Amino acid sequence: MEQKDAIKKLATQARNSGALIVSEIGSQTVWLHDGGDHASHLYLSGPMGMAPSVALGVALSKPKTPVLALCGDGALAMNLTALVTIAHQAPSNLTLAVMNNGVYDFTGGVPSPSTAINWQQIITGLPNFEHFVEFDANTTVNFAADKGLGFIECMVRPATEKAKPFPFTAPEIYARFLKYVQAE
Amino acid sequence: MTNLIERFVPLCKEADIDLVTSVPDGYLVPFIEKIDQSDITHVRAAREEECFGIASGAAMTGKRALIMVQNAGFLNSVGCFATLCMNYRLPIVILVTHRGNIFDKNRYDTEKFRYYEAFTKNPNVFSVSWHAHKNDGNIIARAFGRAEAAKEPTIVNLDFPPTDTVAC
Repeated sequence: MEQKDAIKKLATQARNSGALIVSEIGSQTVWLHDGGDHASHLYLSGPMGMAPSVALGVALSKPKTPVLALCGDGALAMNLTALVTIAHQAPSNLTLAVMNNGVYDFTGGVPSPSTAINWQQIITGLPNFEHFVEFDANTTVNFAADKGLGFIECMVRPATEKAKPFPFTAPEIYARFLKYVQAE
Repeated sequence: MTNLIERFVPLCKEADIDLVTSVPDGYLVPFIEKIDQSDITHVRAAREEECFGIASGAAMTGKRALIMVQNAGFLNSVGCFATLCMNYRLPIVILVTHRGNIFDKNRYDTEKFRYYEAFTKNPNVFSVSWHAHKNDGNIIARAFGRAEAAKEPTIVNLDFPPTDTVAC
């Protein structure tokens, strides 16, 4: 699957469930924006690896709202300890999704050391993750806020095209997201 | 005059703090124990940099989030502080135990002090000494007020042993 298509499909399902979406810097942010911008998107512009931690802060602050973190495999490997912290907190409204292509897609496609990671084994070894989903074009994901802590793995190909230009500054993203969340 | 440890949760409540996230330091242990006994959400992070992400997420929803880390833990998190907390102009407060100064009985923390001082002074990051203001009321609440007014993080340096008596 192309990452562009996977993110668009996953984000559409999440938004239809009323989810807030936190996207990792780089590929996940530009493809989330490319697939259809929305005020519920919290696009991160750094540092690499922080999407799961930021999403945990959002999920604990909005416990009745589903929250989806879109991560790359290389980025999640940079902040692997976040899985330990998240498993300890176990917010039922949080789902982490890893776009697994084995490369730093936004940085010239350089191979990532996370290439051979078995994400399912890692998640199985942690407490409190209630769902592991292998996502493909036919998968429907349950994003209900009370469904329990979830993890999605999506195998994607390195991109062969570029996303459209990303227009927002960090303070603009924060202001828009805050306004959206507070209006909920 | 009262013990800062006993006053810590009331100070946090008065400051309307919704979430605390921490990695322990010797000075922070009694605060963490008090927070755990309260109804304030406390996230124990596996690594200091995560605290900056977690607090940023809470702040982006309009919550008041307090980070508690040691100065060396802050240094572990400088990239996140710069590219997330500062870049998004987030009004978070960071309580940093500033080890290695003249009030510190540990004799092995002096380099933490030097490099943390260098980091916060050169880019002009706003920080305030709790010791210098320990008789000036609720410094946590004042720090959040300043962070929200300036639209940027504010650091409170806990630069004396918390067993000292204070008038806050």
